[in-house]
Amino acid sequence: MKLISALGLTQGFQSMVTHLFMQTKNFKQIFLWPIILGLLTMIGLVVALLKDDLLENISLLGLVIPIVVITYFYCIKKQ
Amino acid sequence: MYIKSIKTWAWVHKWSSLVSTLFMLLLCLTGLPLIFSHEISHLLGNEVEAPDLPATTKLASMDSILANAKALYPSRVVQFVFRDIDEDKTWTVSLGKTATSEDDTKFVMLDSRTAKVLDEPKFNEGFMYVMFKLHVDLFAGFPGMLFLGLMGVLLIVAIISGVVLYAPFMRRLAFGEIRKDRAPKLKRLDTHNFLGVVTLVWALVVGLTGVINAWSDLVIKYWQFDQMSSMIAPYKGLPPPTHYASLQASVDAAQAREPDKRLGFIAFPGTDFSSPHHYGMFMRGDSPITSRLFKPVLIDAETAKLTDSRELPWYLATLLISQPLHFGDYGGMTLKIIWLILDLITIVVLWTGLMLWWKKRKQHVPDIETKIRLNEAY
Repeated sequence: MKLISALGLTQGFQSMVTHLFMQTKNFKQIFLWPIILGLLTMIGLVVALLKDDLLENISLLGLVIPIVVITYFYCIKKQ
Repeated sequence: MYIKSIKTWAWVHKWSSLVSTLFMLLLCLTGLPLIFSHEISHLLGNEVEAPDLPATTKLASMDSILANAKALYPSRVVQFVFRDIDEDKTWTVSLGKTATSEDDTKFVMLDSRTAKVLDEPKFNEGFMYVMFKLHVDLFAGFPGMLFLGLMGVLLIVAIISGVVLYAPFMRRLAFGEIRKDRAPKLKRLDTHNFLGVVTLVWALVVGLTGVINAWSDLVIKYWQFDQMSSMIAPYKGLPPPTHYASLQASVDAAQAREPDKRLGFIAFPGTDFSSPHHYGMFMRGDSPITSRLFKPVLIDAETAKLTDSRELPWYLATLLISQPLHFGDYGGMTLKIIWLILDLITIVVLWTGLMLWWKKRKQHVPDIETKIRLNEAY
């Protein structure tokens, strides 16, 4: 990789090469984050429906986290 | 074998999405203002508030509330008396041409303590009404509802097939990676996959509960056939009542039967939620969930005596619980804003999906295997 950078190749090409070298992910690796976020969403939706107190507000966090994740990856993180 | 099944899933995803996308975009757009319908009508000044009176002020008799509403439209038939879940200062009376007619219904809002007429809200006109009708039945009544329900089923199919396809496209990508510096189509693809998978459960829940709501008329018809008919069986064949007992006495009888619940709405004789001989008193609890689960108490409209009251069957309970999960109206402003953001994200998912198809429809379309390989080569 250092060699490629040293040769002054574009960042795009670099990431292209990174992808070719990246190991294929297995099922667990692909779906770990989607499943965690899905469970958080589910807990948030259901607990807020059952409870009408502090727990409701905590459970709403479960719904906010996916939005935070989107903001982080889409707007903040440098790809 | 693997590639063949991926091909099938890709076909399912493409067609279930294409058929339903435009309707889903419409539902997402019309749903946006509906999330805030309460706030919007408040802002537009369409909502009249009851004056503040000392908390000890006694409630007016339901009979005088009813009489004052009827006095405005003496030739009409009272259909329902209802109010919002968090409202206790007013009642709204709906008056139709007949007990079941749905067009040109008049609404009269009265103060629950003084029985004075406060307002005549127009629920069946204006911007919010148009949004509501487009969202619920496309102005096409019952067939429109069933049609949108079918589109909802396609959405669910599209979501599930989309999750299956997520795997092959993510084999060499990190979670949340958006290739912004590559070709626009790759950015679009990554955006579609990422936003779609993160909002997956919410979209499934809202889609599924939307489908359940689309069948609400059928569910209610079945409830009438299944439960109401046996509750009112002793009254079968009797001529309609010639006089009606006091509404307040009827409300009291229902309250005595369910002392821990509050009156949610009253269905008048002849409507879909009562019989020609009964007031249907629908009692609700206090928690977010029990306040949705109306318990019907049937009161004889001639004698103000209890006829029957039964627990809700599972299918009606499912319908009533699916409503808040679709509307997002059970967690205050926080939940409404979450609903708004997730709705907007869903619009992006629908739009990027549509664009992915549109941009390449004229190109030579490689099969899904090549597409995955191309995706990984970048």
